[in-house]
Amino acid sequence: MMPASATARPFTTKKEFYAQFKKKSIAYELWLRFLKNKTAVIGLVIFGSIVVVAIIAPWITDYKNVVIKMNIAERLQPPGSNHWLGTDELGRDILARIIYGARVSLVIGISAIAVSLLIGLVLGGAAGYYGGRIDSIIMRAMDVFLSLPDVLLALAIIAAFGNTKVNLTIAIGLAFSPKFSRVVRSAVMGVRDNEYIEAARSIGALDWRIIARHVLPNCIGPIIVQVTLYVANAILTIAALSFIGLGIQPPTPEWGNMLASGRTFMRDFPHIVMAPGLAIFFTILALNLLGDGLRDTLDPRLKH
Amino acid sequence: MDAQQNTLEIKNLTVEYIVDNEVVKAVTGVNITIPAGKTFGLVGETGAGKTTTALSILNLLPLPAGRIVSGEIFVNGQNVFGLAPERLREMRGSQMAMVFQDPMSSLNPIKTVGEQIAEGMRIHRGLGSKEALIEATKMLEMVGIPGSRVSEYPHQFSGGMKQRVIIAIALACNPDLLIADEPTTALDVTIQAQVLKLIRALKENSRMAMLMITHALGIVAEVCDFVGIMYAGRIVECGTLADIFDDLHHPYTRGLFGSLPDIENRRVELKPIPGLIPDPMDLPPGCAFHPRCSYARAECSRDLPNVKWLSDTHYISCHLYNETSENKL
Repeated sequence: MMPASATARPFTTKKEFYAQFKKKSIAYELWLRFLKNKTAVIGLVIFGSIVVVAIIAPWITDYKNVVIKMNIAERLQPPGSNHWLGTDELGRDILARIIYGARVSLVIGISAIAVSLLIGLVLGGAAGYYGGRIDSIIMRAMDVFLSLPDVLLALAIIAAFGNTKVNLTIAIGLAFSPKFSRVVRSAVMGVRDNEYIEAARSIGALDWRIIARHVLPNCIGPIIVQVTLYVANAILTIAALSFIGLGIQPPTPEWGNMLASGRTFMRDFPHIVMAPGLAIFFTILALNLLGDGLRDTLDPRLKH
Repeated sequence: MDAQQNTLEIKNLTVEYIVDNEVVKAVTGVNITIPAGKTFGLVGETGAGKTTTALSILNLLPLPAGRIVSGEIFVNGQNVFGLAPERLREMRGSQMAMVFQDPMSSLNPIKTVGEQIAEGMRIHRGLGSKEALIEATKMLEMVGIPGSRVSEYPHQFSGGMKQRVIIAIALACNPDLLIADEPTTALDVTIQAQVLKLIRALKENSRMAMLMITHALGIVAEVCDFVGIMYAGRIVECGTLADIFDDLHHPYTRGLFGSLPDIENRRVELKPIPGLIPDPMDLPPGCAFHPRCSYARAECSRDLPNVKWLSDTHYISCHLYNETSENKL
């Protein structure tokens, strides 16, 4: 006979008891915590919409006939039902150019940060994990790069190799890589002395395996936060370079060069510069909100 | 016994740490021999050099502070310090493995326990990720955890279960030598009993040699064949379990037993050893134990005691056992 207390047991079988653990993975718990952070969710929604619009741009508008085709008859029109954000000095629809501009900014911004992240993971990972002389050599070299302003460094690379989109990506990627190296290095240093790293060494794992599979995955929190914040920075840098005429060249729409060409007409037709200005503003704002939210979400977990 | 039969042979190991330009003598002249299938218990207070000895076997001393001054360590007849780093790395995990002290911090928090058990098998046995995971499930069941939990993360396990997972990781590649560094210290008593039961069962079912590091004599009595008592970096007394437990001799060993409550005679007051373990940066001259030893004599603070063999298996390092001395305990 079963004792009477059996009815009080919350789980009847072992399987049921263990099943309760399975539903919540770490990622799921973090997602729930992220959702509680309202500003971060707003950031994600804004940035998500910009990404979606950039992806579906070809279905919204026609690049050849709307975005880059001059139409002098309709030049400098204020916002209205025909052109929601008005037209620019060459009669092109500003909304369409903003949408296509998002593609350029996002693709270059994200791939530039991917480049610098890759460099940062390799250099920062090695510096942080090995320490000592390797650390000194790598980080002193990074300090030299850090002592130059990002834009200046990117400018020098573009001036030397020409301003194609690929060069622009590499230039910004290189310019930002020292910052990632620092972040990765300090995160790695925090993780490498943990006993589970020693345990991995004690079962005979190779160094690269320990770095790639044990150290770096445990550093992912601070790295994700930095990626988000620096994508915003990279987008700003592209806009700045384009504004001074060294980034994306017209007629390709880019928020920075839209600002630059609209500058002349700013006094009489402020809508020309307001649209790209606000586009930059909202993108950067969204990414910063998102980054801050991610930091709040990921940090408490790193503490315990 | 010839060298081939012994899974582990430590000969005259001396290890120092350099901390702030000062030399800390962590381990001095330690000799340990463990034949296949036997368990050696290394007993001593915190800071006696037990963990340093263990890490030396894997040649994983913290660098650049740790330095092996002299001595040789043979695992399966191969000199650990003479091997190429690559060869040594292959030996770690496959021939010798270590169970770390703290189950809470020895598991990677963001990988499933299955992945962590599988890792050694993928490195040393060249298994694919799927095969290794199946093997990992078997290992998990061997240490008494349902195989269905293989894809869970360490935070979903209790402390005792984590320690079993760590044991499973260490055993994944059937090592010839298992080094267990205080495997039960961080666990509460009931869980300790479970883990010890598991260790005993493993011992019975394999030819694996084990170095059991602990400061609990009760654990030694349960699982060990040989015992070494370590004090301030030296082994002061060493023998079989029976030698130490039935025929104890060194004043320090005596003190350790005196610090244990006697379950049959609860009225007896405990006799703790007075004082603290000495600062390894500034060891007392002569026998390092003499300031705390109630039998200390003049020569104790002057000369290092010689090793005296009391029987084929039992040796002791204490002035009370000089040839001329009559004052044996």
